[in-house]
Amino acid sequence: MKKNDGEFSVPTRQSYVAIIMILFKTINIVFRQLIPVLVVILLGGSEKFDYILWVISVIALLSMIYAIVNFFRTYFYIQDDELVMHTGVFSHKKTIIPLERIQSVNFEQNIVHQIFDVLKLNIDTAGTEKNEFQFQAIDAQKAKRLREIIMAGKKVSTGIALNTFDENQPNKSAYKEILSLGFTDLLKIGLTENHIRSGGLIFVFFLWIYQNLQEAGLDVDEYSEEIPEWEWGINSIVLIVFVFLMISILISLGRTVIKYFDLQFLRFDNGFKIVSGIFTKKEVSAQDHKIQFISWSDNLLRKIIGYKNLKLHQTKASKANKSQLIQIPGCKAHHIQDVVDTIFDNKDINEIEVERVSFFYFKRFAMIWTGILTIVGLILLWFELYNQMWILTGLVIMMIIGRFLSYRKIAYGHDGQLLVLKGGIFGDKNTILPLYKVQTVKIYETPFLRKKSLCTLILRTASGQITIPYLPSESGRNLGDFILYKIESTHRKWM
Amino acid sequence: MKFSNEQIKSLQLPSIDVIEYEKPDIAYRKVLMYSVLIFAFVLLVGYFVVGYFAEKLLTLPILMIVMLTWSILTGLAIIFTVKSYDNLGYALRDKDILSKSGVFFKSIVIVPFNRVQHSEIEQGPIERLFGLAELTLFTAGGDDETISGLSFDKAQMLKNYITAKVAADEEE
Repeated sequence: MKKNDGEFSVPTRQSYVAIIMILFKTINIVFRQLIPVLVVILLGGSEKFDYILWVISVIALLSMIYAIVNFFRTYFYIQDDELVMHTGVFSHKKTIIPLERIQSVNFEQNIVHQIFDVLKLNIDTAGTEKNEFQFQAIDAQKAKRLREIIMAGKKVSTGIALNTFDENQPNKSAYKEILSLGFTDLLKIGLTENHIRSGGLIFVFFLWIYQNLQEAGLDVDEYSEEIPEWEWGINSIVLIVFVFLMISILISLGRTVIKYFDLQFLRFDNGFKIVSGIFTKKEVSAQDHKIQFISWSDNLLRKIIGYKNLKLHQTKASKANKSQLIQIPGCKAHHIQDVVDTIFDNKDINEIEVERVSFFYFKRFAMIWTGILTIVGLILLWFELYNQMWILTGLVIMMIIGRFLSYRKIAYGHDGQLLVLKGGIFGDKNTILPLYKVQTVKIYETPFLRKKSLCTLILRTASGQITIPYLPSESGRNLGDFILYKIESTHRKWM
Repeated sequence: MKFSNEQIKSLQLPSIDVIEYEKPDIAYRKVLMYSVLIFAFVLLVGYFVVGYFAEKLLTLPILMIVMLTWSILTGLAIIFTVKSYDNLGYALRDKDILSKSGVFFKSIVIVPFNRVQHSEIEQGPIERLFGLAELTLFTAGGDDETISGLSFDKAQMLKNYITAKVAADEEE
């Protein structure tokens, strides 16, 4: 290890390619912010076109300067088993991470990275600090050597053999394939997304643009004058719903293919790994001990074709870093069984007895929302806003039905080792949490819950929290006591 | 749900319901009240500053309504603060620490010592005036648990106790 140290003991910068990456990223962010403004200006009239060109040039120039300054002000070196990083464009920031605190070093490569043979580097640190470090582009060979040094440093200081990633493991046979998705699988997954939700999102997006245009003093209706008087009959509503559904289906198809292209879900000796992506090859690994809980779910459509979406929730190194979640769509029941068997030593999950939550979980919700609907509805009626009232009524009815379906599904139970939580609205959702992985236990009561001798139990884990709502007060407390007993009586590390 | 599971039936699990909670230092009630008063005062000053530019706000009928509302809200906030002080409490056990809070929305949080990553003592300016401090326990679970209204010595003692417990746990 000492021998290799030399290379990084002097301040090392990123590859020059990083300038392009930072530039691209900056411009991307700036333009995303500006899209609504640009749309408004472009539609507003062409005499402002010169002005826009100026603004764009200035933004581009500033981004360029930013990228170059950023490049020269970002560098790192290793000193006394610590990784020292200098960052910051306007202010100078020096960050020191002891090598042993580094959780993992992850690589990412998109198409530009591939052309220049560089890697994007993410460094995850342990603990609750929200630090995560990223270098946009580092020479591939250099990056791999850096990872080796960091991992070697860890090995020395912790005495635990760490599982490093595949670049360091020449034999591919160490990996066993659990599942790989072909093109037809991707099509099926894309087609069975929750289209009502995505369609709704797109609808909201259009509304938002429409409002922005109006606020900019643009009379949108003026442009639609030529269109003959629109009959708001049942036909047009069906048409609109149909159009939004089609758009939503196309978008989710595209997204699915790009995100999960050539997905492989692999097992190595003490963990899982997924590789996927069309433009950007992405790799995420999860070692068994870092997985806090797992969950899988489906929806109405996926239920029919037997596809489930499996999630492995592993320790988050930082709040900002959500990429650590391993998500595998298109799992069949036997794949799930495989994973459950592997992680939880062939436990039969179905044998765990579960209990439903209180009926008040539905009733309370229904009453509160009926109350809100009545009040707001009356106000809307007063102002003769009939359309809005109907939309609101429809939404509230949908929410209440959703809550009822969810009430019928929610159930919890445990066998002394594993907690099972069931849920879902149209589909099914299952969560399995080993009791000793819980970090803190919280018992929560509103005045209503207290009156009905109910409580809500919140179990926080290192990968998010699990909530069991509206369970009998006594059960909640007993379950809490038992989980604490489990945590405090075992010396099994949660990670 | 009763724990009918054979493995644990014989075990008398310690219950979180029979715990006697320790109250925060009585001076902490003052700290809470001062915080409310300072906030209310800042609001009032803000109103007058705005009023300086928009003189209509300082005309007699409006000013009277505002002052009345301000007094009522401040009074309510103080009553609520006293109530919330009454509902605060913490309890040390051999292997974990409990902390309860909330007037209407009550919660009990239990943090096992063998999940604590590190702890911190903090003193706000008003707390320093009364020699009080708060102890925050950090776990990997995200939301950090804070026990407020401890005398500085007590906070130090608690921190040492917990640190010792955490260390002992790691040795095993």
